[in-house]
Amino acid sequence: MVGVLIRMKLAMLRNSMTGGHAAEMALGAVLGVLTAAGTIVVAVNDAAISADVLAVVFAGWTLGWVLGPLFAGGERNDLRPEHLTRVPMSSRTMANGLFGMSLFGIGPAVTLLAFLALVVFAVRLGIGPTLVALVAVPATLATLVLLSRITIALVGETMRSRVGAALVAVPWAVIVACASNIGVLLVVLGQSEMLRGDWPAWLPITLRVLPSGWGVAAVEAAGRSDWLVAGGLLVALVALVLGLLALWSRLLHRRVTGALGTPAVRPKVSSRTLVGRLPSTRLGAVIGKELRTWPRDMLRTYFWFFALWFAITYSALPLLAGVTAYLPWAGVALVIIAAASSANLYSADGSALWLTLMNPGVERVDVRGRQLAWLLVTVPVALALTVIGILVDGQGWLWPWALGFLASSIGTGAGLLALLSVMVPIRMPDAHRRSANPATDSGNITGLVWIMIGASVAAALPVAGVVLLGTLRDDPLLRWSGVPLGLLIGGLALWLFGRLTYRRLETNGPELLEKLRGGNPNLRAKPGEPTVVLVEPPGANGMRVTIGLCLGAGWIPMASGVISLILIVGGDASRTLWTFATRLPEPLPVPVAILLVGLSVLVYATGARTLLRLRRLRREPATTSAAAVAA
Amino acid sequence: MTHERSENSAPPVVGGRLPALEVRGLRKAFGDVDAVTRVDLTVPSGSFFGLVGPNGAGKTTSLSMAVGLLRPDAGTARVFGVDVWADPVRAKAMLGVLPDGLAMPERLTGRELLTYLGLLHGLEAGAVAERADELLTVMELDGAERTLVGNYSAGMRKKIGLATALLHGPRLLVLDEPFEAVDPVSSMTIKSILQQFVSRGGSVVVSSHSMLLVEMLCDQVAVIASGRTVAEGTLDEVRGGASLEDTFVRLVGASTPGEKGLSWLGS
Repeated sequence: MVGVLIRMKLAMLRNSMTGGHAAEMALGAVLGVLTAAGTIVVAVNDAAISADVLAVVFAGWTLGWVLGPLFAGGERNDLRPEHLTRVPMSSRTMANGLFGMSLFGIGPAVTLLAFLALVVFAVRLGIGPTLVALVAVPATLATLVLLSRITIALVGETMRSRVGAALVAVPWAVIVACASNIGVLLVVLGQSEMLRGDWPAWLPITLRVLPSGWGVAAVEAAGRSDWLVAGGLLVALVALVLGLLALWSRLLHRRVTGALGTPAVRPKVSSRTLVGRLPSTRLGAVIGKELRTWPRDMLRTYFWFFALWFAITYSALPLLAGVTAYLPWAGVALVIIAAASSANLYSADGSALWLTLMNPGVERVDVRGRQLAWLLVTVPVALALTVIGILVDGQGWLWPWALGFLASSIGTGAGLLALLSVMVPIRMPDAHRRSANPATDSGNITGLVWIMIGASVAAALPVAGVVLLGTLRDDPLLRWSGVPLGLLIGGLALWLFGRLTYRRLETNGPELLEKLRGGNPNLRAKPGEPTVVLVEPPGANGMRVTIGLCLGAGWIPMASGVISLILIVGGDASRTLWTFATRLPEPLPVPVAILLVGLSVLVYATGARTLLRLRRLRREPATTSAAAVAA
Repeated sequence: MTHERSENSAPPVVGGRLPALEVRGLRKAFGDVDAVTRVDLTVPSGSFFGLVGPNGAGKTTSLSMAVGLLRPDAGTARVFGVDVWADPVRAKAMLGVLPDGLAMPERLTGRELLTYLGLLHGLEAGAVAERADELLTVMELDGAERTLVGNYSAGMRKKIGLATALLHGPRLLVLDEPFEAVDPVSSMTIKSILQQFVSRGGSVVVSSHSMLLVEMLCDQVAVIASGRTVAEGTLDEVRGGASLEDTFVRLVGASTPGEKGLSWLGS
């Protein structure tokens, strides 16, 4: 049984080795092998510390395996349990078979390579420890693979309710927020003694109490000839594998017998809420449809709460170092991330677009309604976060800055989320065919996040200029005029991008539908396989990378320059990397800061030029086919 | 073929002779795959038109192009003389469509879906409520008031899809596999709705794999194979003296390898 499943898996792996996907896998494999090599280097290093470091590294690999599925979508190329439901076998046999199958693949191979570090480490301690390591390594690997599978199963179960979707977003949001604010974490770490090798006493012990460290502890015990502890840990490790296998088998049973198939959402259909009181017009209909869909669609719920948790974690993280300066920007962070993750509005509805196409003339109302519904869902929370943040931070001079930026980014976000969802559609499974794993369902939105960040920063620049000028001249009226300016810019962006969106829908609706359903309707993706079948002009990939990099990262020198200018004006001292310009010797700070802003403009211009070139290239085949229709 | 006309809401047909749907020279390729090479169809006004063809023959692709959901590489489609691609607003107002395998706004209940769609079609709130109520009752979906469309069964999805196609009172219905996965009772309901619609002057195009069903319901038939129309006309013209099934097998040039049966099955 396991043999057949492994052959099936290898065949699936082979068939999915095409184009970008193969490159992605190769990149993953190379990174994995490098990390594995690093782990082995640790093991041949100084024996005294390498046990501790190995325990840390093993814990790191475990974290990667447990969290990996949340990011990468654990079952993309795998046989799913649903594929086997028609074969007569018990869920126990199925679990064993699928487990055996999951041990084959790039991930387990790379991890095994890394875990050989423990064997390398044990060889120096003698034959006994080496034998212990040879048992501990496969057992630990099996533990990680099972933990990863169980995570997928649990996420799938949890994502079936609204609270669950909001909860699943927490770990992801916290990790992304920590990664985006790594500087603060390093400062906190630097304040502690850890980097100098003085680890707190609890850390090495905790690392060995965690299952990921049992193997290391067993080898250490064997090195001390403490065979009772070494044997006990090995038995515990094997018992853990069997226990996890039994747990996974139960979860599989629930999944394939349809115990989870019952609809989790029992919609409220009350007409006394805001949704029920919307006017019976076309616009009212779209807003109502959207407002009802927001809380009921687990993927939308997940992304919205991701944005909320991200904003809160990102701005609250510096509190660890006693810094409150990030709090006023929580609202802006929420708006940017919520807009970026909503930039798949049309993709998320998938082929349901046909209903709009069959009712020509409603495109404008459809776009405007979606924008307004997003504003209704997002703005109150963003405004509350901003106000609370400023009050807690206690810096009254920030009001015009924060409110102005908030206003401009809200409008830019509401405009761009519509435009991007139509211009850069992401093929994802239709709502009734989703796997309940946000990573597999949603496609990759990283690029969209970067574009949104870049655009929001660009839109905030005039606001920043006016408020800065007002501050320089000590003119409260000018300073506060940043807020109406932000509203104006935001309003313009919302109006203009929305208009471009519905114009595009009017002219290219069928093409968008074709992309969303994945090319040829006869060859379209099977349920749960988010395949994108897009015909791209040659060189498009490189151009997309350039566009993403320029539009995404263009704001960085800008932000650095603007923040430096603000600090120079305010006379504040700062020690972060962002404001390196302020610490340059006089008279350099101001010119360097201005130069940084100029650099941003240049980068943005490059990105925009490449985008226009790509659009021109893309449009060429479209015009030929339109001509053919006309003829 | 000609039926008594007693149209109530639909505007009168210009000249009385315009076909409900006229498709000329439709062509579509997806990359290297020629899905449709040349499809011509003429659906006379007031007819019940059956479109049959083997799997992958291009039925869904042709119908998608005919109703304006998929842009053809070449060819035209006219609904009562109005070009679907040149004047979609007028053409689509006369059209009710049930596509195969496309999503709906899955997170709405059936009633919510019909209500919002009705409002989007510009109907009065009162009329929308009335029609939604009637459609849900007739389709026997009124028992699922608190079930989201995404959680509907396959048959219920077909029925709510048909309801959305009927909602705005179209003159031509284009239905891709309307009877697939529908239980016998609902199937009878749908058949009688469609037959009434035709008897009141409406026109219907259905694609189906069931020859029996097409023979029973349709007065006009077209056969599509390998992306082109291979036969078209009244039911009797197309099938000659034989059954539609035999004619179909002869037309699409298929051998029937299954005739011998599977040697090991049931032994």
